[in-house]
Amino acid sequence: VNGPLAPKIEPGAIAKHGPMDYVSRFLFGAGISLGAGLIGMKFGPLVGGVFLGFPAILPASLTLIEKNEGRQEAAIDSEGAILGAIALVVYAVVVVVTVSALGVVASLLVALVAWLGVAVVLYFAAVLVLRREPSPP
Amino acid sequence: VVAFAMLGDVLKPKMFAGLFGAAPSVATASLLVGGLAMGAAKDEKYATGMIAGAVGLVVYSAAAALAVKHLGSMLGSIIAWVAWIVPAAAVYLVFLR
Repeated sequence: VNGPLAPKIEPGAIAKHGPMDYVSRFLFGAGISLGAGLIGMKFGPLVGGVFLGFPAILPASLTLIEKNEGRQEAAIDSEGAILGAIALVVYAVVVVVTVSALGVVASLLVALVAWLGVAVVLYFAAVLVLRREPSPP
Repeated sequence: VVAFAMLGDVLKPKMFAGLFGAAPSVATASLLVGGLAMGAAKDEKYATGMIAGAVGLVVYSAAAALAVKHLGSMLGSIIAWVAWIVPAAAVYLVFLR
């Protein structure tokens, strides 16, 4: 994949964001992690686990993207999140299959690599099929 | 969480950066702390439940793309939470309970 759809890093983009942008997302994340733990203690780990897929950080990110880059960019970011979420299903399955055999740390490392691999492959597959970044629906 | 958020901010194009909006940041932190404290068997159950939540996140992201375009990010992403609850609950009730 070449041209405008080739992934690249723009470190300068960090400067567009203030510390509070990251603090807010950290707090959203910490809140949902705590919430999932409390729900797990009350209703069992299966129910608590459902909330590990809760969209806590994405709404905060979309709001920031709309503020800095516009509504269209926020909608396109959401489309990328569809692919990331499909990879998140794979991540969870990998943990289920490997955590007893490999232990917690190794299983999570394998699952993270699997998430990244699946997400990137899905992105390139989507780009190859669409031949462009999709317009928001 | 912050590391994944920063990655999403510096990566281009936007659709590629969007992958990191669904990164397993909260899940990894929760499963790491919970697993080390309570054991691998507990993590296995949390991750099993997480499959339902992640399926919900797929539908949420698709709904958010539509809703954000027409309603703005704040209202759109909040309304899209309905699109997370329904499939997540359905997968949990049908396959996991």
